[in-house]
Amino acid sequence: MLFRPDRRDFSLIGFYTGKVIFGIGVAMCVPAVMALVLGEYNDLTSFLLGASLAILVGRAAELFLSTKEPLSTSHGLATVALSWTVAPLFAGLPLRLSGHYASYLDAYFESMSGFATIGLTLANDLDHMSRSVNLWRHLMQFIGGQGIIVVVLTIFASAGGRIGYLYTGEGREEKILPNVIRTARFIWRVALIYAVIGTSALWLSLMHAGLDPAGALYHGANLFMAAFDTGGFAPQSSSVAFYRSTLVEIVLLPIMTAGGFSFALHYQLWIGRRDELVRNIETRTIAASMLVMFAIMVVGLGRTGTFTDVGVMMRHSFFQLVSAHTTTGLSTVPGRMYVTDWGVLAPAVLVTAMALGGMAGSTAGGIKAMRVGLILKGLIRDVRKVLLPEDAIVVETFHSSTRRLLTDTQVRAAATVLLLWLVLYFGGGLIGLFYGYELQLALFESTAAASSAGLSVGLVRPDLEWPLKVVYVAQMMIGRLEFIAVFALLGYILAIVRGRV
Amino acid sequence: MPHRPYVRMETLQQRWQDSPFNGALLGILSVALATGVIAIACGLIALVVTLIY
Repeated sequence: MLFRPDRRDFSLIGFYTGKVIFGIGVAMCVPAVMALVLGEYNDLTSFLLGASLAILVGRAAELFLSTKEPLSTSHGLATVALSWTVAPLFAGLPLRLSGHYASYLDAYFESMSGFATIGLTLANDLDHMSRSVNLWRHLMQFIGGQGIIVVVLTIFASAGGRIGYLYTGEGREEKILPNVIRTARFIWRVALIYAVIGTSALWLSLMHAGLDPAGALYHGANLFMAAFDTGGFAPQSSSVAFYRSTLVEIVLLPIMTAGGFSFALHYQLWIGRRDELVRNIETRTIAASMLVMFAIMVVGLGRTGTFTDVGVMMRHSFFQLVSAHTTTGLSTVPGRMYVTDWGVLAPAVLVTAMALGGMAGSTAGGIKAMRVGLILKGLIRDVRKVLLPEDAIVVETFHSSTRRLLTDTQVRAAATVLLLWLVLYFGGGLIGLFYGYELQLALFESTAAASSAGLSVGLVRPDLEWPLKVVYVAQMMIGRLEFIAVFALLGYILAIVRGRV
Repeated sequence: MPHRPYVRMETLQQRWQDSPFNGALLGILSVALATGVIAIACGLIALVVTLIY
């Protein structure tokens, strides 16, 4: 039986959503400073307007909805989903005012694509976008990749353990350290230290590619945010192909891989447990699927004769596969080529890689290697049960930080979420078919949006039908939050309409 | 017996081991190593496939 939410429930959800909106307003000050320094005064006005509005609304929510009531699981989940719905509304304002987006829906799409680290873009004339607006696109990926809520947890740490539910709702289940705040700070520490190392490496390689030092730093910082947060936006419309540099691509590969690794695994590596790389169920699953899929991909490319040189084939196919599997979305070839020049097998592999995604608890999206690994382990256990004598006790274990016993509940939960993912991918694909697009294009773009990969075959463009834009926005959010938080928000809406007082 | 206050003997090596940059370096090297191993394995696969086709 559903109970209609009362004023107390709305106050709680509104209060914490207000904190998130306030945080977005503060974050907008970064590109505003850049606009001021570079003399981009029109964009400065847009950012100041957006920041003022967000800070005003955030503070008003805090003033008028202040409550000392504890946050429950359902409140936390609904807050996360509501925050992710309204944050792009505010973040999209400077984008809309920049003149590069045809409508507010396009700006909202771009903001959601940024926060959810998708990488699909509806920007017109991206190559002539001002540096401050382009920085804001990438900064959204950095904030969204760590998790908007993680940002809030770090800034408003005084709220303490009560906001632990918010962390869980953002698709992050595992607490790396015993305390949620300490976990959030560890995630930030990893991101910031890797940002220093990664941006420096990219800066040097971009200068080697021919960019001036200031330009290389700007592109390096943006590319780092796009790669480490598995975002996929790029400062130029031709993505990484713009730089025509093998060195830049080689530097980006480990950064994308680091983004696909869970923060729990980063923690293990940081404390010197390198054996975790070999023993962890997720690294094993991803390594195996990478090798199998790469083999299928090069067979496909070999049959179609796309590349005549093995080095060039290796360079492009491996980069694209890592980008798809970590759900980053950076590319070294024009997206349309996947369907015009790469035959059938190679794009099918890319769709599968995007669908599988990175590790649970990382910035990557998709089904996640943990779930795939658990289901495969469960399958092996069932096969062994059939083959062994009936009274034999079959026990299966897996390694994730420590050796754990595989239970039926874990396998069932993983299979249920897998099913939800498949419905999400195929649902979006079916709607694409309804609008007259070919199956290959519709499924590719739907999977790219839902899995947060963002590789595109060119279907997402400013003149795309608006209902499809709305569908992709919904897919991006549902995929990033991994269903439960969105279901909780829908449950609240249903309770408002049909709940008992 | 003269009073001898406790003195913490911290070597440069210990300081480096406690620094977050030590962890970060270990982390990024491990990630780069993993990427490199997979890249080499994929390179061998590409070579074999190219020989077949």
